[in-house]
Amino acid sequence: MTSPNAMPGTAASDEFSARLDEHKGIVCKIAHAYARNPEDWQDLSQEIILQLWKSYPRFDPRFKFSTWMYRVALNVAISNYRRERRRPNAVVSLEELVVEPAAQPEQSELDPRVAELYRIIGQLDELNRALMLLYLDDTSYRDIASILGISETNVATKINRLKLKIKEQFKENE
Amino acid sequence: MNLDEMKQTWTEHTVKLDRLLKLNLQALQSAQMDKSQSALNRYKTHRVIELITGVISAGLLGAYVVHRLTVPSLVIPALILDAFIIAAIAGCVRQLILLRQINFADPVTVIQAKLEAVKLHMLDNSRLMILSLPFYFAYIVLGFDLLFGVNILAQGDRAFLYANAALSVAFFLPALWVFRNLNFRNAGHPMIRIFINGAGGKQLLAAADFLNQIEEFKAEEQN
Repeated sequence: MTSPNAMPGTAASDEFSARLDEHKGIVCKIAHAYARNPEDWQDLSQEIILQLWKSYPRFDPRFKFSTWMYRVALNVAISNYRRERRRPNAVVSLEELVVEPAAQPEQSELDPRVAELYRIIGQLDELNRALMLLYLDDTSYRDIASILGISETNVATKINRLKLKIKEQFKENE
Repeated sequence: MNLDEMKQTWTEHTVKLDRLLKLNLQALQSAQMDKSQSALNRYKTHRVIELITGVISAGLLGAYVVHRLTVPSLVIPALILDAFIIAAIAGCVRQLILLRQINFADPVTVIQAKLEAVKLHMLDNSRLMILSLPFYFAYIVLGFDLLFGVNILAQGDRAFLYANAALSVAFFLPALWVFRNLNFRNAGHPMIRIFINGAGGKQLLAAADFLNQIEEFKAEEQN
């Protein structure tokens, strides 16, 4: 648990902030892929960043920051997605949002091709959705295996299956 | 759109997000205060309450055993009930250990499986309750002694005692079957599904199904 003393402005938080800033797109993409509706992504982004912030004191520098970040973000997103009832105290005012609202376009404002991508991703179950996001982000099979907790062989097999499934979907849509 | 275009679109999307996103970490302080009660903390609180209740009940039954030590017909039923309470306490301790082990920086399948196992706690309790069903007469024995000061095993009507003994025996095998089979791996079995639904409704069924999905996802696949 993070001490309130380690708030923005301290060395630890500056370091966290710089690292997060470098990979902030990960949060947004994962939140978008797992939000139950377009309005939920901001709450989910905030929840992910909050958990990253709380977990940061336990971050092991021997690992890549992005790998650690994917693990935390995906775990938060999947558990949030699976939680039927939302926590009543999870809602904060717009002024308190961690990710600025202007930063992420609404679903309707998304590039149609990106919206189509999110639609395809959204059709997958929670675990295959994570796999797909990691694949699209060009994450190595080794890192995907480490993030998801499965073997590299399993990653390769599953990605091939996903590719085939998507190809078939494209064919059907043509 | 084909797969190559899909990846290209995704890369462009990533670049655009990196350019547009702004982080407002100053907001973390207030957000953290807003979220002091997390879902995990709620589970922990419930388990601790269960643990305290279990320890008190086990202690009271222990005191009862000491008080009636010279009357085996009362001590044995009390010990049987105590054994079930101790098993429930052990389940609570296991859950608290599991909750302590949850670190969101661990691999996705590991953490998700642990989170679902936490949700399945009700299933463990239901298994214990079902296993205790053939021993229902132990409750009656203790109830009669505590409420009316009557040792029903010593003073009760023989026909009544034999009828209850026969009922206990009849319950034994079905209860044992349910106890052994009531777990998430058998969530596909229609009868077990009814039991899981009865123990915790759709949420418990969803947890059992997701645990199976995780196991399937983790399994090596050979093409």
